[in-house]
Amino acid sequence: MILEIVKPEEPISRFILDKAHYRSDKTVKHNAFMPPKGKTEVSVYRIKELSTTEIWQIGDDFVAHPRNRILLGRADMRAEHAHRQGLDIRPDIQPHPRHANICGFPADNSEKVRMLALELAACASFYPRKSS
Amino acid sequence: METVRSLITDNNKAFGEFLAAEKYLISSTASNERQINPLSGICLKIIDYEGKQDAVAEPISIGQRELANIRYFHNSPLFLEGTVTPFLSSSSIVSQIFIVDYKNYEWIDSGEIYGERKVAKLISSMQNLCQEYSSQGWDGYDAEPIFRSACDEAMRFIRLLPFNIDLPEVVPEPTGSIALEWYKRKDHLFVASLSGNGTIEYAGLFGSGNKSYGSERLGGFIPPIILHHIHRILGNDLGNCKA
Repeated sequence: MILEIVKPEEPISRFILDKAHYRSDKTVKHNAFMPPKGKTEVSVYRIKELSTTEIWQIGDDFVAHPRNRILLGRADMRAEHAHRQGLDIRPDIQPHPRHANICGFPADNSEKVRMLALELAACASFYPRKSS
Repeated sequence: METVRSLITDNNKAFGEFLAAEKYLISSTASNERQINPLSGICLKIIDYEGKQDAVAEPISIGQRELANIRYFHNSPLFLEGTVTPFLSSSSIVSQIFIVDYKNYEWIDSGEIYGERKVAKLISSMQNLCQEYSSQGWDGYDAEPIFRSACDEAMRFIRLLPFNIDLPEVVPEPTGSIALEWYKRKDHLFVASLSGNGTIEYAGLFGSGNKSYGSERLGGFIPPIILHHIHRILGNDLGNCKA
C-alpha cells in the first residue's frame, strides 16, 4: 500500500471535523473538499481493506485528536471520481502510511476550485460517526 | 402588484405567511388604539378550480370566529382538505394573503412581511456564523477565518434577493468566504460565494452532467445570470411568483 499508486477503484476518505461540512440529510457540502487559501491539495486517507473500526481509529488518532477536535464523520468516494475531474491522488506517508492528498486544484482559479469541490462532494457518501 | 402565487405546493410557507400577516395586523392596529379595528382583517385571495372562479374572500376581523376556523384550517396536515371555513372548497387554492387595514386604506401583501422576517432571521444567523467561524482553522484543518467583509457582502446580497425567492443556506468556506447555497439534492445545487471584494463567484450542478461556474460583479442588483441559476434549482422560471 505505501507509496503505491492510487488505483481508480480504490476508496478514499476525507475525515469531517466540523458540522458545517455536512447537511442534515447526511450529504457532504462542497466546503469539505475545498483546499484553504493558497493551497492546492486536500488531505484524505486510503481506506482499502480496512474495517470500519480501523478507519475511525485512524481518523481519531491522526486527524481529530492531534487537532483537539471530535471526529464527526467521514466522506468516502472512489479515487476515480477525483481522477475524472482531472485531479490526482498522491500518497503522502506523513503522518500515516495511508495518508494521501487530492492534488491538482488550480492555484489561480478559485471559481474552478469551487466547481471541482462541488463535483467531489456530489460523488461522496457521508458516514456519521456513531457515538458509542 | 397583481401577482398570483399558488401556495398549494408550500403549505408551511402559506401558514408562516398567514401568521406574519396576523402579527403585523395586531401590532399595527393594537399599538395605536389598544383595540383592533373591526374592519381590518386578513383577506385570502382564493382560486376555486371547482367553480372556476377567482374570488377574493371577505376580510376577516381578528378575534372573530372565522379566524379561528382559518387558523385550524392552516394547522391541519392536509392543507386543502377538511375545510371548515365557509368560503373554501376542497378545490380552492389560497393564491395570496393580504392584510387589509381599512383605517389606513391599505392592502399589504403579507408575502413581503413574511419574507422580511425570514431575511432578518437569516441575517441574524449569519452574524452568529461569522462569529463562530472567526478563528483560523475552524474546520479542523487550515481554514481561513471568515472575513468580516465577506459577511457584510453576503448580507447585502441577501437583502438584494427578490422576496419571492427561497432563502439559501449559509456555508462557510475554508478560503474565508461565505457561500450561499440553494440545495435540492447533491447533484442539483447552486452556490454563490462572497469574499468581500465585490465579486460573486458562483458554481452549480444542475443534474445530468450540466454544470456552470463563473463570477459576476455585485452592484445594486443581483446579476441576471445568478437569478437564472437559482431558478434552475428552485424548479421554475420565476420562483414562486407568476406575473
